[in-house]
Amino acid sequence: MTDDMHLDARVRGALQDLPMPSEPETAQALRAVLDHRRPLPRRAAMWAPLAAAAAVVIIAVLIPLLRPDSHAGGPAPVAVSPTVLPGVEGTWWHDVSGATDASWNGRWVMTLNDRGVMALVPPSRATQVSDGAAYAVSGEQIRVNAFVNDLCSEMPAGVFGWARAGDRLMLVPISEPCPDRKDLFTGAWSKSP
Amino acid sequence: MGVSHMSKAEGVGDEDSFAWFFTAEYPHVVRLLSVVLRDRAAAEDVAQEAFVRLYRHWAKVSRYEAPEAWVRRVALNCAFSVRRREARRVDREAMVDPFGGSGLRGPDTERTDIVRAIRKLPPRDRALIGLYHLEDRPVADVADLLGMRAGAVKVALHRARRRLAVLLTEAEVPR
Repeated sequence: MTDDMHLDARVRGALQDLPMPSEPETAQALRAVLDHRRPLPRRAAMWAPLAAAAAVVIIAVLIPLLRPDSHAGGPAPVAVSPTVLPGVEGTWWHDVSGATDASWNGRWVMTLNDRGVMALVPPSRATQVSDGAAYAVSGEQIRVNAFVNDLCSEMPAGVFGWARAGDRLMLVPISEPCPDRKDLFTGAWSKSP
Repeated sequence: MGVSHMSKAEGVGDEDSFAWFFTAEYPHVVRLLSVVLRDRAAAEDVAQEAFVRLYRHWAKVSRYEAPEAWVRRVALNCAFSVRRREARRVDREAMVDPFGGSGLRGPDTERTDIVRAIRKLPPRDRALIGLYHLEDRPVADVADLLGMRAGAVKVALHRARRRLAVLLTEAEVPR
């Protein structure tokens, strides 16, 4: 046996001992893929906890301002913990202005169903539309992969902090590498009737 | 591998055929990516991303001659992108025990050294080694998957083997 053949055999043997996902892990992954769900981030960046904390603070400050009954000079409203508020499911809208792509300006409607599927309806003039997307909520964070096949191709899903106050949904970016998606989702969304 | 011929089986729905393909291929794709990405969790994330894309295009790709090559090509491209983004990260993962310290069978130290040495190679070399040595693919297949010419694959494999031999010698000397 030559040195090369010996090395090849050692390499092959070592690699073939690398663990593979078990049957239950594979079945779980299949369910996630069939649901179009993206895996939850396992390798959170070191700054992610700080960003999450900052998002919670921002939400806690902004939510009272978004309340329909909030007004200057009134009694200071108590910030409500996002974890005890209703979920994100439902149909929401918000108006975009000043987008880099002018065709994005206008009303966007976002529907989040209870199976992790997100549908986006852009303004009628928009040239870029999402071909369907997935979202996953984990505590006070929501992960979305809209535009993964075009504008945000080759980028990981975006992570936003979320909070609800009545008929408002607030999204604050925590980790969003895709600028267009960040601009679109960040801000207050109103519940559609 | 051996499922490239499966396409859509007669009488089997799209989701069923996809599930069958997924169950057969996903574990292998994760293992291949764990060579390229050095980290099992990242390998699972990228593999799932590739299979989500496959699922979206399953009606078309399942009719291809080699859907398993399609999903590997997508997965490897995603993996290369991930590595590019993380290039500035300290490569601590290279030092992690790729077998999770479970001690599947001996000699543990040697196989751990070998995989650690492979993980010190550039991502494309790791993909070459994963496809050629782990998956036993012929040079022509490796070339097709990585968008290289067969001659370039042979040269790259030869260089990777030389680098690996040096790295392994360095790893073994202290013992």
